[in-house]
Amino acid sequence: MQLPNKIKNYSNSVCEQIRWKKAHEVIGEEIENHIIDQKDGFIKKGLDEETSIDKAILEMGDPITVGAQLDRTHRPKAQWSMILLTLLMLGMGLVIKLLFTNNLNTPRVIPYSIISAVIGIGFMLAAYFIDFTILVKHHKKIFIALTIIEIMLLMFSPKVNGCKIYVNYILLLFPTAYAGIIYGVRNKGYGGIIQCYLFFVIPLLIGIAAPAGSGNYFYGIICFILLIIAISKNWFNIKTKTGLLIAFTPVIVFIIYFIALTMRRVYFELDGYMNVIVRNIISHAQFIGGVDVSTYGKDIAPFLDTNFLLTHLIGRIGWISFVVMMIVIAIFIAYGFYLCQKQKSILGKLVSTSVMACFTLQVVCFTANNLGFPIFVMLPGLPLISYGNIALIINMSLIGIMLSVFKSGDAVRDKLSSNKFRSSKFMEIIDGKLVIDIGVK
Amino acid sequence: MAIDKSLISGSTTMLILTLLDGKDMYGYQMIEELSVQSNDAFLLKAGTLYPLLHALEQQEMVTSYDDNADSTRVRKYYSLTKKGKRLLGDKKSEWRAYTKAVNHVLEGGACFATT
Repeated sequence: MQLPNKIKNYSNSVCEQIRWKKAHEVIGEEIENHIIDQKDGFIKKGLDEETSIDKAILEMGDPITVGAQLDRTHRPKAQWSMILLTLLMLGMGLVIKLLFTNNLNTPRVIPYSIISAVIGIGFMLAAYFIDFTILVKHHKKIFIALTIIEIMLLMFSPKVNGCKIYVNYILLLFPTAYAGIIYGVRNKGYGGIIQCYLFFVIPLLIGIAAPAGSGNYFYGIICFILLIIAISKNWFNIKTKTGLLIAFTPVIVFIIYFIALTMRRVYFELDGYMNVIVRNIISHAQFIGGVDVSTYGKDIAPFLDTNFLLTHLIGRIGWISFVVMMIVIAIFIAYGFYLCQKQKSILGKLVSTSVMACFTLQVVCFTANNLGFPIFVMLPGLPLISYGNIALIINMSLIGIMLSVFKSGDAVRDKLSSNKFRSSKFMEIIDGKLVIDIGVK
Repeated sequence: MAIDKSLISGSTTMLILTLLDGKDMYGYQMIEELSVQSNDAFLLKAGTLYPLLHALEQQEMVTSYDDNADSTRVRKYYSLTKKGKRLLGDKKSEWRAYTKAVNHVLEGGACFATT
């Protein structure tokens, strides 16, 4: 229905006073709706349409004053604490690399880490300032573009320990893209869930073909978490219990497979070369103070200062280093999830949860590996801290997207009008009036 | 009878929270409901209501969600949170203490004034 110009002009005048442009749409719509309700109220009392509109606008009060008052409330939330925690972890990583990297084993770690940290900050800032709702506007294009990159990497990526590592890294981006896919199938019922599964399977198959190692499991776990969130919020407009049953059936199969695989891996890796060193260091470590390096092979075990950074530090400095790092990471994770659950829009919730879940899974698996429980051999690393240039840039980009959600999530609403509540009928009777919808907004 | 604005402004938050304590409402509905419940004594302006509602939402006293008004429009409904319920309780106690004190003065002050 076309909105009268007077109403539109009033809401525009209010919005002009609000400096945060992202909030304009939500506020403008609420004010316009109010004036329409008020106008309809006056019409019911016997006034004509034009007088009712004028009177309804007058009832609203001065648009400049109203706008100025709303401006005080509506500001983007920068979430400085999360930004500072991110930079703290990045800084911690650089200092640790600078002090404890074995330059003889890995001479390029420090210069490469500095370059990737700078690039990572650039990517984080770019993602922070880009409107995250592009994940919805171009959800299929983004998903397809990532799939094409994965297929290319499947062909050309080098193999490390039998895994195509670059395929593994890109898989970390897929859950966030998948949030856009779930968002795009609102109210599409069981068909929507099937569509989600079809999209889900594509990267999974590429991951299996690679093989991609841990990335595949991270992707699977996070996508199911997102799907369950969406179903529990009635996103597909189906019975929640049935929806959860549909979503959980493959989850249970996946969990059984995952446990079986993990047990098999842990069984084989438990007595593996690296794990024996790891367990040796852990068993000799003190709370404060280093152990004699000769107890674990003169510091020369491969990847000890990169893939086993936590073990390395526990050995060199003591458990205190582990405790300090875990406290910082735990605060980041706890506060991050707290902000995720506070997101009002499903989009904000799905996107931010995908990033936090990805971060947390990386931390949990890396920590388990470093404490002598080798769940996965090929891991992206301890996010932002351990050595891994591409993983660092990817994680920084994801955190940038999440910070963008926290910053402007309040101004994002799940669109009801365009899908569910926008009438699909060309012609219908509303309040005794014949309404013809030609589909023009 | 319309009441002096300055008398209403101090208690607007309490009135809004009380309305939402009963059921979830959208802005226009709150103004109408307040007018009906107060026999037209409280005529709240939308320009006062929305900045206040949005501020309460930011303070997590109320939360909002969208629901359909008709086939073309979506309405923003407000709902009272637990934190908002606690604030309402505090505001009510504050209000009772205040009105008791005012009545006391209006009725001729404390009992020892008569002795």
